[in-house]
Amino acid sequence: MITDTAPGPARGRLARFARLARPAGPLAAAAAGRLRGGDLGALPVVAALAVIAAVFGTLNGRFLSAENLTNLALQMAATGTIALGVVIVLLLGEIDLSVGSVSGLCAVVMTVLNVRHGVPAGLAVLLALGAAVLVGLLHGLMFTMLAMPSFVVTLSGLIGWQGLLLYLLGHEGTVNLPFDGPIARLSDTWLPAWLSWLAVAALAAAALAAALVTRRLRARADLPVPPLGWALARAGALAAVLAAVVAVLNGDRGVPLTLVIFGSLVVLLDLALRGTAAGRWIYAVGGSAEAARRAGISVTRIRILGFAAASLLAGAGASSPPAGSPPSTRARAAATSC
Amino acid sequence: MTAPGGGPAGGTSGTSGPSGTGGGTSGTGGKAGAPPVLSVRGIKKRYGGVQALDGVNLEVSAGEVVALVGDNGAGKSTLVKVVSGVTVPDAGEIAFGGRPVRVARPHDAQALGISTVHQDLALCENLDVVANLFLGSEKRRWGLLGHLRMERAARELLASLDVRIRDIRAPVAALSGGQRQSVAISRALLGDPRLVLLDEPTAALGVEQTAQVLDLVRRLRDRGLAVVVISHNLADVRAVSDRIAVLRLGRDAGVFRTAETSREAVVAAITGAGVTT
Ligand SMILES: Nc1ncnc2c1ncn2[C@@H]1O[C@H](COP(=O)(O)OP(=O)(O)OP(=O)(O)O)[C@@H](O)[C@H]1O
Ligand SMILES: [Mg+2]
Repeated sequence: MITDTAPGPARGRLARFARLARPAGPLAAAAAGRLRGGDLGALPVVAALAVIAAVFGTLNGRFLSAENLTNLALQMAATGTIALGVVIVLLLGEIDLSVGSVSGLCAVVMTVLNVRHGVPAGLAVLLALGAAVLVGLLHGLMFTMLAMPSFVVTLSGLIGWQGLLLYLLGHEGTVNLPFDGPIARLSDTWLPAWLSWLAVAALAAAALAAALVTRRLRARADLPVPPLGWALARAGALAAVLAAVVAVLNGDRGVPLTLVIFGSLVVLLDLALRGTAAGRWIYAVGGSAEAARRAGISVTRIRILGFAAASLLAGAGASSPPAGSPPSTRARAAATSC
Repeated sequence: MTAPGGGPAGGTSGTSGPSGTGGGTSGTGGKAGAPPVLSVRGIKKRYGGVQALDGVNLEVSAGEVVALVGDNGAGKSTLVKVVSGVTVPDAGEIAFGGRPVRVARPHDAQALGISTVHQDLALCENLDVVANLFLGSEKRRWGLLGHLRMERAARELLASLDVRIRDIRAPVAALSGGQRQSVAISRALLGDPRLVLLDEPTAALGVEQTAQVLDLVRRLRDRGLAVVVISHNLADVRAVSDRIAVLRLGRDAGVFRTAETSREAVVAAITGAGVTT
């Protein structure tokens, strides 16, 4: 029988550790086992962030000020959105070096359409995102059909799209978005304090409700149920983290809308990767393309989808312009540490 | 038994006595009349300088276990890959249930009801057991994965096969070789196959698990499935199979009725002792 549910022949170091640690239940035991097995999850990233905060906080007293952290959050939204796309390609076991150029290209396409050709802002954004998808499809086709290494494809993309960007910009080398235009306003919108707190409460409640519903469904399906304390602790931790962020940001100008958009993108992408077949197949292709192929998955289609999604997200990162120049290496650093 | 006409002379002539491949053309362990579930004819496959398969024939009927044996490099796995759509042969025909079919992709084989345990298992190490079991045929509703339905079905399947895995939510990379093999075998039994191809399914298993798998093979046969088992263990082969098909250097080297054949005759066919080629 399945030893998850019964205190059956629990052998080996993992089991001993799990018993020593007195976990709250079989699922917690499994989690402890995974931790013990070297799967540290997000711990190293959290530790690195703590070190960074400590070091720079002592070097410069203003580093941890509300204003600076708000600016960091603003920059993170653009870089992070681009990094989300890189994450997808990394999950496929490939690399996309071109996201910075693609992001810049999209920003230029959008701005040129909007400013020089008078295309309405919303339509310009959509057209720019469409261009990004086309770029990604091209990368994917070159990678799959021509069997070029992704490194080569996207390195040439890095250089080539930069060239197209400069060509589109023309002699002046810059196009300025009007400060009162809808696109510029997007990056200068801040949530009122009450709305931020409401959002924190709503998110924590939603997380708790989801955990409770999952528990109920698992119990009904005769599956092992995680302990109630676990669900409460997770929702509580989420609420605490969100509350801390809101408290800091409210100390300055408030929660920027771009950060909310970025956060939503993160959650949506996470749900799509874990909750849809396409998302699972992305993991499968990255784990073993041959196994995925033998399971009847169209590896080519998944790879093209991945590159298209990466470019799309790079384009989406461009439409929150305050970060300035295309942050390609920053995005990649952010992605690899995810 | 295969190729009633000009069957591979080398195969039939070499073995003495009991094989009797020339005569009983109709005697493929299955019920008379019904066409064999799988019938492959004249399969050829070349890898660079290696002729991995050179005109191989094989027939498997419903409710029959055919063991495929042969030395290392004889072409057994290549034949399995051809039938399961993993590789495309250079020449040859495949008929399924009496009708000629094209198996160009793994998907085609799955659609026909052919499921396969490959020698190299073909699991995604980064995915958990449940995800691997359902890979490519996930239960979905409104485009969303049915996590709970899949986990429940996986637990039931593993329990029914007596597979013991502590944490089916841990990535497959954390499993032992034998556990992985159990997962790969379980995976092949999902979704009502008509033909199951097992490429060395017991290679990594302990004594008890091997006995279980052999027992499982018998149960599949009793359920009316067609089963092809590859193994180097002749004792296991003799314990479980109805017929033994021998491959040697990519060619047919005889098909034997297990019950009427001595171990020595099979070994002679495998090694080619006494055959003048
Ligand atoms: N992908 C490949 N590329 C090149 N040669 C291959 C490939 N696959 C198989 N071969 C060759 O084809 C021949 C048959 O290989 P195959 O794997 O079918 O043997 P096998 O009978 O399964 O052997 P074993 O008992 O060792 O598993 C071998 O000589 C092998 O080197
Ligand atoms: Mg083999």
